[in-house]
Amino acid sequence: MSLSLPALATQTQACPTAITAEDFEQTVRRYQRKIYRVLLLMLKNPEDADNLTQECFLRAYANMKSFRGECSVQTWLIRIAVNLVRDHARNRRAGFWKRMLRLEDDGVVADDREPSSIKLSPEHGMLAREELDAVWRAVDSLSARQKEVFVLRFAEDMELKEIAEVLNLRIGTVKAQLFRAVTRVREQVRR
Amino acid sequence: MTVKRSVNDSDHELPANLAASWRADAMRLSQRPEEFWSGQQMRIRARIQSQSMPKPRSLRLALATAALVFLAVLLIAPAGPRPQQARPHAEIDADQRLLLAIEHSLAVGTPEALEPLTLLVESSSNNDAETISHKEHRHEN
Repeated sequence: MSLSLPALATQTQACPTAITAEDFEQTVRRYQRKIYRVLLLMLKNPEDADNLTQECFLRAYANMKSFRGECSVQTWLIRIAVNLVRDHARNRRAGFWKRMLRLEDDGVVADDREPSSIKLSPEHGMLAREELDAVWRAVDSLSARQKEVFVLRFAEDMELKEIAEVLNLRIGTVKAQLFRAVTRVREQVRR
Repeated sequence: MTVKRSVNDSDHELPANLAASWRADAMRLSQRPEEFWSGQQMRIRARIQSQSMPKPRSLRLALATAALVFLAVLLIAPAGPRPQQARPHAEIDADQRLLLAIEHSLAVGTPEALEPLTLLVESSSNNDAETISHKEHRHEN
């Protein structure tokens, strides 16, 4: 694919790790799967994950000049993605109240639809499947922050330090959030 | 009495096999065919390109604003005395202009057949010049 993107940030000469417009095509190809996966696991909605993946790269492209290589490109992109998830959740909440008010005006019962959930594969053994289902249920029940930490740790296999960098948290806070998340998952699996 | 439980590294980890299974499940769930990824790349490209294009609406708005500012400046500017245009020093009447034109065309080159006419014009123009200088002299007095 030849992106031939407009040369918005061709003057990123200051830092050797900065992304140029020419590199951007490669950056998209390299990280789009990871970004999509993170978004899908956090949102549990394939369509939203696709839209926000696009949005993530649009934001990254628009902010290429400001990227100075203080962190890795992966950390930078995941940080953008996590911020998009937070914005998305805020917008959904705002949308919910708007719908509520509108529907109440119309005299119709409000309907807050859940995003279409991910279907799990039937190929695993029964016991393993039950355990995995329990993990997914537990992940669903985590707070937004705990879910972010859990997904980055166990789906993306990221170090605590990198998670702290992505989420702009202290490493102690990451540990505390992860401890709570893991405890909840373990409890759910034991049931 | 409360016992403060120390948090060690194992408290941050799932059982290894469960963590690996969940990770594999998560990977499998996010797998998409190659067309999906190439389509996504194309959509990203299209959105970047559409955002980089100058927006005609904003251009029109900018032009309208500039026109308004120009008008406002014209209205606000103090109405001082306008500079008067320089008037021509001397006005030559139509007969003199015609005469000068004929003289000019004759000076360029006169056919032999028209030489008497040249003499006539020259004498006439000398008379006119004398008349003008006489008039000017009278005005000065």
